[in-house]
Amino acid sequence: MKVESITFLSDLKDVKDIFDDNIDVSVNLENGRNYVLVVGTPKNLLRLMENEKSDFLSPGDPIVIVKKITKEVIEETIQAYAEDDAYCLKFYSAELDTKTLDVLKDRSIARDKLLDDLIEKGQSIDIENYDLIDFNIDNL
Amino acid sequence: MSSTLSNVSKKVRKDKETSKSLDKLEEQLKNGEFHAGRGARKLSGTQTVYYMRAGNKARLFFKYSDKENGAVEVIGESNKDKEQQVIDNLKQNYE
Repeated sequence: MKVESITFLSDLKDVKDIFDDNIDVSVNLENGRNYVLVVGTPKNLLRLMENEKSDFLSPGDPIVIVKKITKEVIEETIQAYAEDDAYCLKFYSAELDTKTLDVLKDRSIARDKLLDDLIEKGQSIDIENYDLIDFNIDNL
Repeated sequence: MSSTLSNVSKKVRKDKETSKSLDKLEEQLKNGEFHAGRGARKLSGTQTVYYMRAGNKARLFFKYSDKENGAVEVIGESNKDKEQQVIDNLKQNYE
């Protein structure tokens, strides 16, 4: 999907170490929607854990990993994440509450069941995923 | 906090996790723990607005007080979905 604009939500000149930082990046896509991604470096993940005095990164949103925080690298990364209908860009920036995640999981279960039924009956499984937005898993 | 941003705050706080995270950020801000979460940054395009970012969705926007040296004032709250909207509003209202 075409990227209309990329905005760095804090100034890149404030990045002291391009190999050890993370930054919020706002992306507008051609679908008219806005997505915010956190982009960070591997070294920064270690520093965040040190800051938290923890052996693991506390549960949180996904971070897009880049080698260094520069305009060129991040723009190239965003373009890559915008491929295939921007699936990864949408996934990494998704704002999902637990109920929504449950609904998505249920939808996956319903989809799987429908496909099983169609295969069993020898029918075509050439269907659109969008046909499965409305579903009821109570009788599965 | 402006009425527009206050409404955004109310909406994002409907999510329990975000609300909890914003409360934690606010406490960390008061304690001067600017490295908390994903760290605090100055907002691009402004001279006075900063924001703290939790590991999850929460974003807390603040400025240093004009009245009390070193004191901070929360001027906006958002999640990632509303982040650009809040930033656009802050840029219109703060230097």
